[in-house]
Amino acid sequence: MGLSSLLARVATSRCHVLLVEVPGAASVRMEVQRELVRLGWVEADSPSEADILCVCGAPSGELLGAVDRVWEQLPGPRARTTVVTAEQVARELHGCAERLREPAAQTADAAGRDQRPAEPDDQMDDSDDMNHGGMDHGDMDHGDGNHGGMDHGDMDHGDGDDGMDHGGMDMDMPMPGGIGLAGQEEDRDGLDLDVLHLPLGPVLPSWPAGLVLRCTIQGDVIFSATAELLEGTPAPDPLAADARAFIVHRTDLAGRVLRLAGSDAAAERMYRIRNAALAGEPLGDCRGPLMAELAALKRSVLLRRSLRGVGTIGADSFHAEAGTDAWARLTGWVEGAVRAANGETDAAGVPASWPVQAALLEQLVAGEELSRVRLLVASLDLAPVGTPEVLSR
Amino acid sequence: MSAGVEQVSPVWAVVAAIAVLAAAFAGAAVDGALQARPGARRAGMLAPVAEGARLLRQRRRTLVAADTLLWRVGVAGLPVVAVLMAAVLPFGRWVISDLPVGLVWFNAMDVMLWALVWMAGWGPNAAYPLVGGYRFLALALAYELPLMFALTAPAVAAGSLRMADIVAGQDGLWYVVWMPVAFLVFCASVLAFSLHRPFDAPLARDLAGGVLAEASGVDRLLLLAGRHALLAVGSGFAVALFLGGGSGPLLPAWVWFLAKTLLLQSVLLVVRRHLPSVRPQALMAAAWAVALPATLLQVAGVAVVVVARG
Amino acid sequence: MLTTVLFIVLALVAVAAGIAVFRTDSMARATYALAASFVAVGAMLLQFNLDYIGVVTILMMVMEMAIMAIFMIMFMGMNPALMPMSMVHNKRGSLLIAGGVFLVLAAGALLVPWPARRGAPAPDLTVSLGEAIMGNKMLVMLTVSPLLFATLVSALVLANPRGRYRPYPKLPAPKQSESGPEHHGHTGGGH
Repeated sequence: MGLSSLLARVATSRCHVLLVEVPGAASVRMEVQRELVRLGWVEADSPSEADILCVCGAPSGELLGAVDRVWEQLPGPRARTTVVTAEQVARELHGCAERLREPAAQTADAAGRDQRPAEPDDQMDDSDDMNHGGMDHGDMDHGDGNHGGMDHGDMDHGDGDDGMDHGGMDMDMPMPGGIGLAGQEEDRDGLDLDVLHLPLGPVLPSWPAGLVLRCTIQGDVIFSATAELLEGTPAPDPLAADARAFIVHRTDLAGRVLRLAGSDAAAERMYRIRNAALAGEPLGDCRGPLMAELAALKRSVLLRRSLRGVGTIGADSFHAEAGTDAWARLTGWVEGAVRAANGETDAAGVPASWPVQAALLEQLVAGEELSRVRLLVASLDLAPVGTPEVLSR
Repeated sequence: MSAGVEQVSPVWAVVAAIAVLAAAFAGAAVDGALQARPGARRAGMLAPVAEGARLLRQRRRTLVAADTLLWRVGVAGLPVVAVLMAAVLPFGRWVISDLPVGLVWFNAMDVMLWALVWMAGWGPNAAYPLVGGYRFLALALAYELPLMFALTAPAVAAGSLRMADIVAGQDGLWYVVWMPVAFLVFCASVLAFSLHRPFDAPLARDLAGGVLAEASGVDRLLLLAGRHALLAVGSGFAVALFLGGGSGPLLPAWVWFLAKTLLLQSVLLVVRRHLPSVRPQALMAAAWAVALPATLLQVAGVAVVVVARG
Repeated sequence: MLTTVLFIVLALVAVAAGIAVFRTDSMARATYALAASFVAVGAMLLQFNLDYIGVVTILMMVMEMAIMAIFMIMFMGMNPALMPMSMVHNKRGSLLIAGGVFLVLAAGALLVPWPARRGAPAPDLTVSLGEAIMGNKMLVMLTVSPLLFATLVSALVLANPRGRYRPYPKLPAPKQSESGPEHHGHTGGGH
């Protein structure tokens, strides 16, 4: 007993926390991130990595369903919490660590769980797991869950004109786990390739809150996508956004892109500036570090190479950020934050309405490779500048 | 035949395996300290202890239609490959197996990673790990040829593929001095085959961890430990191939070897922390159009020197 | 004694993995079963002190199988690759051929009067192997191999000049956003 409780104590000294942000709860999420840094804990990239699921804001409807499925994927020992105000954060995280240490609670949790293997990829799957979209398998029936008696002998994949005929193969086994098979379609090189339907979001690291991008992919290239914002759009309140909110918002966005691009050290420094602004430190104090970050950014050749040309919005577009790519937007955010720290007030523009943003997003991601899609989504400011609760601590 | 390096009893292989794991642990501790917020560096050093305890407590995941066999082989293979590499690595004056083609053995083991990382990505039957596994092969195609030619340079200079001869060949002048390009390419390749930044696209955050995305508990522990073990062993090979192995004044050879290895390992960890990820498709042009000709010129230069010296 | 045991174990692993190639129902497993078989053969070659050939067998075969798995799965499409399927085609014919080849080889191994060794192996087998294979043709090989390689690469470049990831002209004409320009906000600063 002594050994296992020691193990539990050591293990919970550095918990991995999976954050889910409900649209409009950015300030709670930032406070959780601040607390994680203070505790020396780690933000998890995937449910299988996490010990704690921390939901920032109160989800409902579809997002709640997605959160529940993500919860099912935490391997355990696990703890879940929902935080709606910044004051709760420290207490809730502490409580989660307590529960992780309790053997009785964890045994009960494990006993109550479904022992069947979990569906893979649920964290990005927002609704029907089995629906692989545009499949057309003729008379194949995926509904009954029992594929034992199915006859694959005369199945014809593809459209038959490519000379590929699997009819002669002995496919007399049930399909793996009852998962539907992918359909095939011509890709842009004119090759017959598999088409998969992969939803990105709503729970992904460095991903806008509540966004679901339902993608049709071939290999790792996204063919087309539809964008949806779960929980609707939070009401933009540009008038309330003061210089501090502006700095917090912009550094948060910049940190997100930097983390995604793998620039961890730069992202941490950016988040440190954000946290300082969030903690109510004088804005003038942010100026020096921001200038240093801007200079470091402009020196980073690799980063520029990886962001240049990603998600370029056509110059003829009527979008506010026409003619920019991810790199220009990133540096623009930091420059804007520097100006705000200088006391120059930029107009906190009215963000474009969601349908406009969605159309832009769908247009930008078509034909892009997965990692570029992730960067370009992170480089778009989809949420309005909110009013962060400035915390004094 | 090989002055200064002697083959020890195979029983020492156990010690070598433990040493590899200890070096991996040291690397993880340095990494933890680098990642810790300022003022908590000491706590950061203990991060691998906490992480190990956490992952030992965590349950494994079972997934629908997962290819569990290949998944487990891929996951467990990383640390195993690191230990197998270490079998031909001269640790100061001792080596477990003084294989006449030790350098090719090292290369063969690093090619094993092509299969293992892909299997670790294929096994879970999930989109993100699968993309991660394929990304590693794309990366491997980019780094493997420059790596092979970088390995050729010290072998040509020493006139042997035996690690002990290569170490002995650096008596007086370390190879890094007259083969800097090969050394740099080799260090980059070490970062690449040990899945560290800037070549961490197979495990990147944009794939929710890629090959790591579905791994939990012991599986994850093995993958992470294997990654650090590969970095440690790769640094050891860089020391043996380019930095004179265990040569140095006063202290015994193994102390010098260990000190150089840990230093290089830490330097690589610092470098990796300050570089952003590189997408595989962006690396291809750089690797084949710049690194490959540069290493070929390096080998040609070395060959000319060797011929001129007679 | 120990070497004999090891040799037998490796031989059994090689054969068992070879059988597994045809018994398994998944492409990925079949590929890597084949790789495992070759690795065991490579290890046996190491036992014969044929170090270079043994290690290179392991290196080449693992690399080849890693690439082959990609192509096999790519060309078959994801469906059959993921779906359990038999790895055997034309069972009767291949069984006959395999059995015949086995008999011929086994007969050869048993019936040929193997000569006794004359002389001793070279001190460095890798060097003598290189001399035997390359010899005075080294310069020719050095010239031909880059040429061959360059030919391969240029053929690929000519076949697909844009590569897979080069920005393509966007495919389906982007659907015009229904909302008019009245929605666009003015700059959020910084541009």
